Amino acid sequence: MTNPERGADDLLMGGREPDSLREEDIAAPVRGRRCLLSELGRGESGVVCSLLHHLPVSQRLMALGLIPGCRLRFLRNALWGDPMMVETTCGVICLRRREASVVWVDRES
Amino acid sequence: MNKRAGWWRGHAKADVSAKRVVLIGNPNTGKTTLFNRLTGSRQRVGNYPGITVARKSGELRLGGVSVEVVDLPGAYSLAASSPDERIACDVLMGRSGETPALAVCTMEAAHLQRGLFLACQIADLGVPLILAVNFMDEAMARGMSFDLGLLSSRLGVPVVATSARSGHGVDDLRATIQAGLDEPRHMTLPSWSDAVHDATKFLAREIPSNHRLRESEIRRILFDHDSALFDVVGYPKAQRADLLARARTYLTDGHPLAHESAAHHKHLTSALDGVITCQRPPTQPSRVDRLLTHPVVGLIIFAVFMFLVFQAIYSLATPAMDAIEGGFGWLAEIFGAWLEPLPVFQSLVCDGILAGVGGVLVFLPQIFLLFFFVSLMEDTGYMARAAFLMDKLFGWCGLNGKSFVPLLSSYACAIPGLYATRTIEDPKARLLTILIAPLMSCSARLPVYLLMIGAFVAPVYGPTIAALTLFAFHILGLAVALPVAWIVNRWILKIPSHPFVLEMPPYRCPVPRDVLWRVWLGGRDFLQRAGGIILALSIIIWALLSFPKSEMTGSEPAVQIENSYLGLAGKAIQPLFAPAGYDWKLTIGVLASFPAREVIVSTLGIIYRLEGDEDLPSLAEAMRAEKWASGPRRGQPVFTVATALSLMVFFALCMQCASTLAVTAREVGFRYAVITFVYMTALAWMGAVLTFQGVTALWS
Repeated sequence: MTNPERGADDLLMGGREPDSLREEDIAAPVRGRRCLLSELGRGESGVVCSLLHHLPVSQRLMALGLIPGCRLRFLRNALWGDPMMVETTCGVICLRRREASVVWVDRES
Repeated sequence: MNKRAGWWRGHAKADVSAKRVVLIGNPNTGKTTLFNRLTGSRQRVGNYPGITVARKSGELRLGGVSVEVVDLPGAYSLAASSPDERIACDVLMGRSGETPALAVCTMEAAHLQRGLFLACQIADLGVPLILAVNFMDEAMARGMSFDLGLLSSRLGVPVVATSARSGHGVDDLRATIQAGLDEPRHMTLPSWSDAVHDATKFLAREIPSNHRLRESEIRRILFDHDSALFDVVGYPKAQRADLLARARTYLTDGHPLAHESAAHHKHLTSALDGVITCQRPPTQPSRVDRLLTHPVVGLIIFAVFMFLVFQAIYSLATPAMDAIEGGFGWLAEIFGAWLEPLPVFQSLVCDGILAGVGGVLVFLPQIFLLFFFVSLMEDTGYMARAAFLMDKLFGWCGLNGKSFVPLLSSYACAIPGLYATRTIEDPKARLLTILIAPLMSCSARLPVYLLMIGAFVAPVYGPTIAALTLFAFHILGLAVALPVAWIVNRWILKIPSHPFVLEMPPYRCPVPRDVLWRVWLGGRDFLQRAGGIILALSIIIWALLSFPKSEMTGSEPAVQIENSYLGLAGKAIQPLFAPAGYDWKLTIGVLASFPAREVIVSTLGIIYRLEGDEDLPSLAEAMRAEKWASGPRRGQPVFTVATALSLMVFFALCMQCASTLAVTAREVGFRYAVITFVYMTALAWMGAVLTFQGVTALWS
């Protein structure tokens, strides 16, 4: 799920109208340590940098506390790699990979 | 005693003039415990009209004055994309009854900012607030300390530290509620920017004023992705989207959909500065947790645990169920002897009413036990872990990890299974689970399988194949259910699905009082809401089987069944079942077992004019000896392996359980009970015909 557009398509559930993808979301630079939350792997941690706001999931994630600046750490996957469990400053959260692909994260070493 | 009587019947109507206090908060913040502490046993559970959310309210006594407390479902925000989620907003805005005088927002001390975010949204609707900070002890054990006085003065509302578990701070909260009712206090929020005001004004202009949306509601429509509040206006989708896009062009500062979150969090970050001090870094997850959530080990532990739970439900409930059945059999005998001179009344009381009441009560032990284990799993925090482990198995067809427990418990009986779906927050996943749960091979199907396999499979193919057949029929239900769920999810159910995002609550020791209370409420609810319908249905079925009274030989039950309305119907629709290989006797048996599938065994016993109804070997012999009396297959045996398999497939897939239909109707509405009945019966008929024709074709 490196392509945010694909993550977006996956999330168009329940016949919602897709908002057009916004320029700033696609252009989020993949330089350096920036990745999607769904790409975070074993033992990695990071800081939330932005969310794909046009998707309905992102509002729910923000309400749970996944706001820019929130620190998080990958804990583990369930069997077959999905869903994933992430420890954040606001508790441990479990989410499916396609839901995690709306969050951009700056990796920390 | 008056009040106690009302409490039992659950109709303790609160005083009409009583003020309403709303209890709201994030999930896992001890809201229910607090609700129980505040209202004691003066609670009632109902449904909000038209949706599947249970409406819990109770009565709080404050110095002789009665206050109605409404417990709203746990939520992280007021953003609502479905009618089920809209309920919080509607109650807060007074669209669902009286406008609340006060909202008590519960939050977990360790995650104060998240709880306060919800509080900000409530305050923005203009409802006076009290903040209840729960689980202080837990947070302090983690090395956090709080200056709640500072927080209270910054936000302008009372902040009460509580520990719902020990009851600490509850009296304080009660006093604060009383003071808050006399002198309501609103949380201070920074005023919205001009951009927001312009956008709201624009929307208010565009939306016709007769919908009476308040400014704060219009702000929700503006900020939320696809607000269900917009349903009030009822524009077509495209028009809504266009209107919102135009309104949101005013919000130029950042993404419009992040505007509210950014504003509230900015306010909260400054309000919380200096309130929380944290001495220690967050703790690592414990070794036990790592084991319980391990992708492989965790699943094995969960499987063993569930096996033990159902073993316990089965073995603990059976004696109680036997006792209830025995008790009703005894009552039937007494009333039978007493009403001897009035045969119609005797039959109505014994076969109709007592059988019906017994049929309701017999489920109670299982429901009590299931609610006990489900409450334990939820309150300890294990349910969320189990849902995490199981999600992948169910996610592909629109269900989620939480569907697992209801489906598994449906293997014992669909009734407790349907009640267990209340743990699923996602309305779509819950509805899907309810629709497919009756397909799981419940214990009432077992007698049918045993009869058929014992009579036609075991004698020919030996015990190994017989055991495999039995196992295969237990898998058949699930194997059919998941694709059905997928199809329904893909093409029929047009409810948007919630994203599967779950918080893993810390492991906590359950409060025994709460667990027992929930067990009691679950059982009471079942008796009140499903009991009546089950009773009514049993009396109707009794009437269909007993009338018209056969004149020739009243004592012969087989003749009575044959000439009853149901028997006549069986004969009339036999051609429908001919492709499945059933003669008219079998068709009557199938029809008579629509109220409860295990009835087929005794009905077949009666129809084949046997003395001992449940004397299986002789029934099996009678069935093997049965020949077609007429038609193209005249003289050939009615029962072949093909007929037996087709009958078993029919019973595996058919909705032959009036109680399940009654509970489905009570839980999600009459419409879905009809849908379940129609789709399962159609599926069963097709399955039976395919099996019979397929097996016959393969054999000749």
